[in-house]
Amino acid sequence: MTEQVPHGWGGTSKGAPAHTFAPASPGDLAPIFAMQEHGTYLGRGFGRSYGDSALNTGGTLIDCRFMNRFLSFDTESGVLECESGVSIGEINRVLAGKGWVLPVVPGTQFVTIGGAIANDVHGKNHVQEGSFGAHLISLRLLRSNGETLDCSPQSETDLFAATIGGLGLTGLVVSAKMQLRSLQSLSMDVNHIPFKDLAELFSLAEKHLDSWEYHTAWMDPAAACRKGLYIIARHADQRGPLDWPRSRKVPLGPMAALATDLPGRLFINAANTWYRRGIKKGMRQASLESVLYPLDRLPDWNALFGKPGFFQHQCVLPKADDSGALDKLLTVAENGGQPVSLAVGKWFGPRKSPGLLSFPTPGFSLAMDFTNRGAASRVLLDELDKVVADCGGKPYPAKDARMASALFTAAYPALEQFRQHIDPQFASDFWRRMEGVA
Amino acid sequence: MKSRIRSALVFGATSAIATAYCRILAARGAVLHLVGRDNNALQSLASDLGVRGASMVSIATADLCEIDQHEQLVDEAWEQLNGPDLVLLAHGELGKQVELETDWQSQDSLIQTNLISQMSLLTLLADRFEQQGRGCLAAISSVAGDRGRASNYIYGASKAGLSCYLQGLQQRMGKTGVRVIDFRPGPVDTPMTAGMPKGILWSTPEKIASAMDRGLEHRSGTLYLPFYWRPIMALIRLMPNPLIRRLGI
Repeated sequence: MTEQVPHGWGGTSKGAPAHTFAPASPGDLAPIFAMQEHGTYLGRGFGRSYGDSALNTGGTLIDCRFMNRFLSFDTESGVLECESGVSIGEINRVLAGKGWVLPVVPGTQFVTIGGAIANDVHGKNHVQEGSFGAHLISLRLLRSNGETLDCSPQSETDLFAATIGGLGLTGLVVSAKMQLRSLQSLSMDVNHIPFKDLAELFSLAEKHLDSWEYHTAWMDPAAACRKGLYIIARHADQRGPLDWPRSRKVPLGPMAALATDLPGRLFINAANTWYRRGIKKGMRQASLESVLYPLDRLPDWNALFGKPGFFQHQCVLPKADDSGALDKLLTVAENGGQPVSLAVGKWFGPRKSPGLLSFPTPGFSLAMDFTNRGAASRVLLDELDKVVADCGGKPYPAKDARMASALFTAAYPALEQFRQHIDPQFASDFWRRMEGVA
Repeated sequence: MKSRIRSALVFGATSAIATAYCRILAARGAVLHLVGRDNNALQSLASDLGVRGASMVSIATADLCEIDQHEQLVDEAWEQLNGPDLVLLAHGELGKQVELETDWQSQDSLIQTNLISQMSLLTLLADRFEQQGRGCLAAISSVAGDRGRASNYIYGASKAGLSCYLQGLQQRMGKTGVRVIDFRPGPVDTPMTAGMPKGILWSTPEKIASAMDRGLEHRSGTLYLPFYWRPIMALIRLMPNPLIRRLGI
């Protein structure tokens, strides 16, 4: 049982590179770039991109996980500079105890800073804080011609904008400087509020969007995702302990070898039932870890889907209410002939990211997981994409393994401008798929 | 629990396992002196350990294959740390077996890095520790030294030599109060093993470092990392050659 070929988190995209390097420090990169026979390059972190955006079949993959040093941290201003392979989890472990955390984090800590930049990741607090890129002060980019460029809103601004959300195609980010936020406590106030239909969900959101920082909707697959829980949270404002917990992890890895997702589906159904029935509704206190990274106790939860793997469909719909598009999307999913495993909604606010290809734009973002059932799944996902295209929505490249390039091109009008900043020696399977290059 | 290791001298500090272990010490506020080949990487590592809480970090850049520099390096370190609680030798290279088999030059250089330079350092360090009458002297060897196998016998030979040396040294130091540890990790996901297919027996630098940490506080002798390599290697050492050949391990 060995992980032979790098694959996306969903397990549906695989791609063997011809060469793999794992630089121990940025200094090891120049000799790698100097070799002619390496073909195209792509950086890779923890492999949490769902599809093929961190794969480079036949080319060179640069495993960035060991370029993981903190370079400086100012305990007064909260400015952190670190190498790109540092993970969000490591920043939490080292700096949360001093009262500092990243202002914007995705739903898992198993993400490198390089990956967070390349996908301009967002969190549950996009309405207030924007995306990851909005808190980035500068980044150091190594291009394949050996040039090292310091990019920020003041210098190399075009390249700065292209690199944030740039899917790793503008060169290799070797380090970055970012603003952290200070916390009084690692505990959070959380409120789980049941909703009976989408109208209720959106009226709840309207009521709370300004006064609470974190917003998500757990949408119950058993009720066609039209019922569920509206979950709001904010950091506790009284002083409290800052020790980062050492939580127990439940290993699910071996389930990836199963030919079927049946045991995993039972597990997922039980989890959804727990959300429907078991979870405590109303106000309570919970740990930051459990609120912001709910799945990190199951570090290999993707194994639940067994060998077939799964697809996640995540898009943003430009209007953050229950008008038409969301209803249509859920109807298509309901009639698609296969169950939704997990559906989560988030709100995106108007705060602009510097990133050219940044995914978040104001609206409502829905993510749905489906077990990979081959062609049937792909047909369903194409139909979902049609709804997204019709309402002027956007797909999320970090989650994608199969969309048609027409949707990507239509949803990202800055592509033309972006292309000018791509490093000519960098490419990914996702990019070749979108550009129609075999 | 208060750590017994408050100051450490680490050779090959930028290697993934040594880095992970230095981070454990840094978080406890230890004083560290790091030796490595790549000055930039050492400086970044020193900054990293500073952010994590190290009381003081000093660095020295050196190619450890230049044996005549060893005395000065050790002198410098002793001055910096005023006699460290721990010296860890973590430098080494894996090499490519296929190239090594037919090329004496690269075999020679691998043996220089993995064995000769370590023996030279251990000669100097054993002396210092004997005078000091306390502390811990540890080196990272490998399970590869436990039995010669077609897939890595040159690397294995260098590690077998190192392990044998450490075993003897431990015996010599027996009555002095100085502990000697021969760490034998199994395969670990590090830059040294980039691109190799990783199986369930593989470990991570962080797991190895925390197992080392437990050993470094109290133990001496041979420590397999993670622990499960001890029974596995005991079995492999007992296997007759024809069986090893048939199994292809």
